[in-house]
Amino acid sequence: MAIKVIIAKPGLDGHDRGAKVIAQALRNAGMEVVYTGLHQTPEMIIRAAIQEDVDVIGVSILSGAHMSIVPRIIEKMKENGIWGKPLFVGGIIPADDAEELKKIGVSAVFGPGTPTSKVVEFINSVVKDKK
Amino acid sequence: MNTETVERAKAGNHQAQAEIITYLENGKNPEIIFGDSYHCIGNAHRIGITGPPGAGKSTVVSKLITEVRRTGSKCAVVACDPSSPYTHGALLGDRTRMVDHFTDPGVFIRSMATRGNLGGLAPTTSIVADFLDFCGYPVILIETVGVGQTEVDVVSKTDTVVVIITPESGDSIQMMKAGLLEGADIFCINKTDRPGGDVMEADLTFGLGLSSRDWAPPIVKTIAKESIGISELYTQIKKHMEHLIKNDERNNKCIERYFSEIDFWLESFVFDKALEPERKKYIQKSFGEDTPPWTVAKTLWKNKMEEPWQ
Repeated sequence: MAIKVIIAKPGLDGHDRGAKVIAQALRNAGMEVVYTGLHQTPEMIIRAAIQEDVDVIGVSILSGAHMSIVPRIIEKMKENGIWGKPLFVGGIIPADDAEELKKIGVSAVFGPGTPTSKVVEFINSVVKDKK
Repeated sequence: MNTETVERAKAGNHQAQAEIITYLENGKNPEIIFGDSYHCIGNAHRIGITGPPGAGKSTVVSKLITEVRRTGSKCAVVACDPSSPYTHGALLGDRTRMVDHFTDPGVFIRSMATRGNLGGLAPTTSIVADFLDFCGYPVILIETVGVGQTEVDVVSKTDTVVVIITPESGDSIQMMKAGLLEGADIFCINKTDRPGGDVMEADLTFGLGLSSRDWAPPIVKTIAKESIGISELYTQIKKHMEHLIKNDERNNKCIERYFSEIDFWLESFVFDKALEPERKKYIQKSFGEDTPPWTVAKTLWKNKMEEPWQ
């Protein structure tokens, strides 16, 4: 049973290189990766995550809007009864904000230069029942 | 899996539907899901969308969803993308073209990785379509991976097959070759804002003139990105279904599908299970004990007969 991950790009920034690198790395690690494309609202991401029945949700934000977008994603996850699925964030996230995000329930935050193997490791460690 | 989840799925809950699809995708026992209601399946119009990579399949699907929703019907989509033969991973990207429908509660979209299947669909696409049919979706769009000439699973798994090509897809010789083109019920030449659409149409018309079928596959020209030609395409799709029903061909389609499903289950009971963790352990142990492989296979086969589900 393959681990299924959704990689989403919420908000207005169009910098999707990072999301694509991560999607590719997870694919190469044997995971099934749903890529949503750019400019997603939290509602769209959570609808997609539900229909795809993913194990992990990953969002990439480089616009600086993470402190407003991520709490809304968490809110939507709670509303839809999927809070508890691991959520990780990648992009340009200052250290203080990263701490804040972890406090509100984000499982991991990955900044620029993170080796992709670290993301793979993280997902394998939070989704144990599939392997 | 429990009956409560099945009930919620039948009542239209997307989360329950998604969980059951995962269960079916993993080859688990479908008896719990369908119970004694298998006869309820068969009402949905299953529309296959196939064609070479980059022809615009996902975009056409997205625009067809809009057409279906305009009639007030709910719509389900199963979109297949290939699994890597090396890592078994998959990048499922069809959704990126369907963003207009993400928040529509009447639309359910599911991506599926082909998991080693070579026919253009995932091994369990058909039973997933059965389940969506069971949940009451009257229209199910099934998108294949980008195909070449012989990935024709979609022909036996759907009622209507739309083959999407582009003006650049080849000359008349390509059109006369066997395979996918023979299975088409409708041709869609997409991206006709590019040069060569008319030549492609003429080549296709010539190729089709050489075959003899009751149903003469219509050719529809579209520019899907701009929604041009899509309502004509949907009209032809509905006409094809009317033709199937009027000429008693729908039943043949269903029987054909039934046969291929039984093949699927027979195969899944027998093959491809040596690497399951439980079996892997047993096989490794047998290797250490120098048990002949045929003896191991016989034991596994015997066990399988007693409990065919994974």
